[in-house]
Amino acid sequence: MAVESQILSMGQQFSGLPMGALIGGPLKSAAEANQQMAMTQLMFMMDTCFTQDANDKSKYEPVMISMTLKRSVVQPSSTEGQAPTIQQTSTAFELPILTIIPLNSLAVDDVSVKFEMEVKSSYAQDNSTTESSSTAMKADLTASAKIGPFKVEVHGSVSHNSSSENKSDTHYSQSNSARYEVSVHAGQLPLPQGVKTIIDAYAKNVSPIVLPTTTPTPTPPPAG
Amino acid sequence: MLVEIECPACKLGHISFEPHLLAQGASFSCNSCGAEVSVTQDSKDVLKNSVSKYDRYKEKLLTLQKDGNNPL
Repeated sequence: MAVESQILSMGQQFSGLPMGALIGGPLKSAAEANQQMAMTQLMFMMDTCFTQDANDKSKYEPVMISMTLKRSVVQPSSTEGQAPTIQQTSTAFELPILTIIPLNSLAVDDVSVKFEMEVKSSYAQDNSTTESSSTAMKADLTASAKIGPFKVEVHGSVSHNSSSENKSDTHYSQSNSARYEVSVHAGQLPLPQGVKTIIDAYAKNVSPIVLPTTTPTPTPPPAG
Repeated sequence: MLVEIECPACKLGHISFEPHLLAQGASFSCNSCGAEVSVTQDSKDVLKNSVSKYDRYKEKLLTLQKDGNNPL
């Protein structure tokens, strides 16, 4: 238990961090850049694609460009049996410049903020005990005796050797690791619906319309 | 930067064009009927001016975009 208390708590490590500032700060900066970008886009659109009315400052007229459309038209022959002819016709039409400039391709495509933190804590303990004892003992004994014609000799030797060794080794290691990753992603914003509607309306106006044929209205006879 | 509009002639195909080239007088044709569109001579200057403004605007936006992606 004493060892475990040495390991740092991961919660403790992250508790003191100003997470709000770390994540919110970059995001706020990115949002500000986004806002500037939107304002720049608006200013560009109003300056380039519209002209302000000289008399009424609240009125804006779209800047138009003239274009020509050339296409081949098969003209049937007026006389029977003759091959039809192909004629090239040219049609002039006006197009607002707003539909020509690709505004939406310039929006912010990606904003990401990543925050990574890794805390590692480890503890190691080494205990080593060595006990060693040694005992050595040796004794020599020599005895001789002469009894009559006999001679007796006794030799003795005693030896003792003892040795013991104790060794204890303790190693304790613990490691904690934690990683916090925050990823903020803001994707591309499409054009506002209002701008889309204006562009659609202009684009639709490019198509030629067929006016109804006017038939002469009969004039009423004079009264009386 | 290709821009695509519906073909005003056939209404089936699309005409893709590049504004810089269009301003220089290039013509672009419909992928369905082959009708060609080009800008008239008197509108070329207007388009050139707008495209040049667009380039400056794009440059500014790229700087802002870089700042937004690297806020620290």
